[in-house]
Amino acid sequence: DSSNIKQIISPNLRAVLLNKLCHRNIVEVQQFQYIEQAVDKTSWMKKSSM
Amino acid sequence: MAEDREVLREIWEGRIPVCFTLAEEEVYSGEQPDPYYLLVPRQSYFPLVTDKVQRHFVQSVDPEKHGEMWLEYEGQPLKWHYPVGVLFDLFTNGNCLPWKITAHFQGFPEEELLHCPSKEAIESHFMSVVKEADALKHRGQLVNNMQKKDHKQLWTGLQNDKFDQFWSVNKKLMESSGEDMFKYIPYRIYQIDRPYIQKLFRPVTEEGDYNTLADLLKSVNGGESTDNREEVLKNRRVLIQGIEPPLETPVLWLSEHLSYPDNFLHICIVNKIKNES
Repeated sequence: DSSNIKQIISPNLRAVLLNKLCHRNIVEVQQFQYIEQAVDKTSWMKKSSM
Repeated sequence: MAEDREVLREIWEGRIPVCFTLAEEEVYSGEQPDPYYLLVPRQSYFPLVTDKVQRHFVQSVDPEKHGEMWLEYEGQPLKWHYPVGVLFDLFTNGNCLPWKITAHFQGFPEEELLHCPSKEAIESHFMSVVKEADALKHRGQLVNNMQKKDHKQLWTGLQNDKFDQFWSVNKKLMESSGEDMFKYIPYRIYQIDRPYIQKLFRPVTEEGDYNTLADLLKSVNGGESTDNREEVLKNRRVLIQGIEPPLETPVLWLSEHLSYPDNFLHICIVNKIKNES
């Protein structure tokens, strides 16, 4: 139910905020994907398959 | 209630590329060790994610002198109990990638930093802030009504970077409709070289309008005139989660979507960088 979202902020304002977040992640994360992740998410998968 | 998963996902996926180096004066044997690069979650805390950094550097320091590892950026000790994203926004102005941080094993700045003896200390700190936030939002009723396993799930969700695990519990704390409407917004405002600001602030005016980020900033500046406020903000940036939200954004929406996992909206006010209009 997205009605609550629409009541609090306009779709335009929401789009502005989401664009800023996406841009943040392009600048801070996507360009540095070659760097080691601090939290290794694969460990859970390995354990679960044992 | 925070229902916009697309926004919540973008927040959760925030990472900071960090280049850790060992303080030159603490190199005990051999050459300066190579820097250690890590992509660190914005929502996390440094001691949760730097075990590998510590293991990498500890073999190069004097075993008889080294103590607890602590981190520093340009002479500023970094408080481990602030989320990583808050430290980055506050001290770098978002303009320093990868973020170059110096690791120390000597000369712990006792007057500036808390010790972090264990992961349990981080968990304890985290849960105390979550409880404080719920006291402001719901008089502490929601967090007190949760089971111990829910508290644990919040923590392990953050620790293991599991979005669904974390949000399946956190959504209950973010309930803000009907009788559960937030009473006050849990927020803190940070500026360099000043204690953070935290005051009571309601999400809705007496007339029933949503208070905005501009209203919040006005309230902490003693309600000064719009002209003065604009003058103050002319040379400043208001950063939340690494972005500058429009000042007309309702604070309730920001609290629901841009809060850190501790349920606080951490707001950094920093100087504009040169050549920035």
